Amino acid sequence: MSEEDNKSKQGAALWRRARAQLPEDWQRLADDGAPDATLLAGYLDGRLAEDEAARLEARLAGEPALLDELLALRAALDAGAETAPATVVTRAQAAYPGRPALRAVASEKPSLLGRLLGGLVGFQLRPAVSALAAAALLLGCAGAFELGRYQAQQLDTTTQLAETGDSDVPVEFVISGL
Amino acid sequence: MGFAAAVGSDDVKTGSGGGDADLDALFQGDKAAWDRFVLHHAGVIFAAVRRRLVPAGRSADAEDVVQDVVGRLCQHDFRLLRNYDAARAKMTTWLTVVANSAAVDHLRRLRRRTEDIETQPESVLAVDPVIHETVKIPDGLLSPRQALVLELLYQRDMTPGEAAEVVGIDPQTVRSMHHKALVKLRAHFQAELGEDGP
Repeated sequence: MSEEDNKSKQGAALWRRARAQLPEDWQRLADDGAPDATLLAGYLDGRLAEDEAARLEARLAGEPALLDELLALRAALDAGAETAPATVVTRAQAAYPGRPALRAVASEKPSLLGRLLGGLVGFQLRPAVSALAAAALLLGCAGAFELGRYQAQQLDTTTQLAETGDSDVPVEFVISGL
Repeated sequence: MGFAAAVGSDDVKTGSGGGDADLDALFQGDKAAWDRFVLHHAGVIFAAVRRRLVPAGRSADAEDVVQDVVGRLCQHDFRLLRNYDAARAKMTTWLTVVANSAAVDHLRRLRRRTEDIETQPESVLAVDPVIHETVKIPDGLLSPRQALVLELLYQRDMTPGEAAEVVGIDPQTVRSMHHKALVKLRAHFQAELGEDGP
């Protein structure tokens, strides 16, 4: 084993001391928030520009949680893919959101004139529709009330006839005639 | 029954199985292109998700988290997927990062829902912080890569070979960086002690 391979206690002590004193600029990089997927993936694939890689490495040296993430990702890539169950594949395929052209038509805004007319008509008609519905309801109630009243009167008359009328006429007949 | 999802090929330029041409087609509304994309990459997403969920005892959630990943890729007219840059990363690597992130978010949401911070012992809540001293080593004393190599060797107890794999460099370069970095730090701290000492 070469001299460079030797991880000495002194080396560990030096790094412990140094990592508590990392440059301010490196620590400020953490303020950028979590690095995006492209940056991490680019680093894992070794495709980042030198300055981008250096910025990320400065963060990795001082942010244990971020280094944990990177190591987990590296391990996942090394492990490779698994066979996805059929249900996973079919559900994912069914999640396709559809054709953008159709979605665009569905969400297309009307022209200025169309919006103006639509707004005007909508504005004019909306209260009228409510008023018509209220009037219809009122008429319906009044009709039902009148019908009820009429039927009650008829029943009253028939009952009186049955009570006071000719005994030759069977009561059942009169009532069933209603 | 399962679908084999190839990862070895990883060729985003081939136009088959999720290549650039297929991506353009699926952005244009080609359902068959989407189906091919899913068929080709479902295994990568599924594996990355499971790798996170299984140790947490949540492997049963894998299917839902894969759906979440798919939702993220599709939503807002494929905004996330359109961000993918084939020149900067392989599709499989990029999808692994996205899927890993979705799984971590899922576990975080579950933890927030189920854990009562009051019931946790202090040891669980404790984090191992990097204590930053007000005294800083001079800018340029160590390169970020040298610092990362030292972190991997000493804090993560890796061999030079393992550290080399993480950083994506030759193990011999790691050994050389390690050596040079220690020489610099030793000199720096000795000078500091010399100045501060009697």
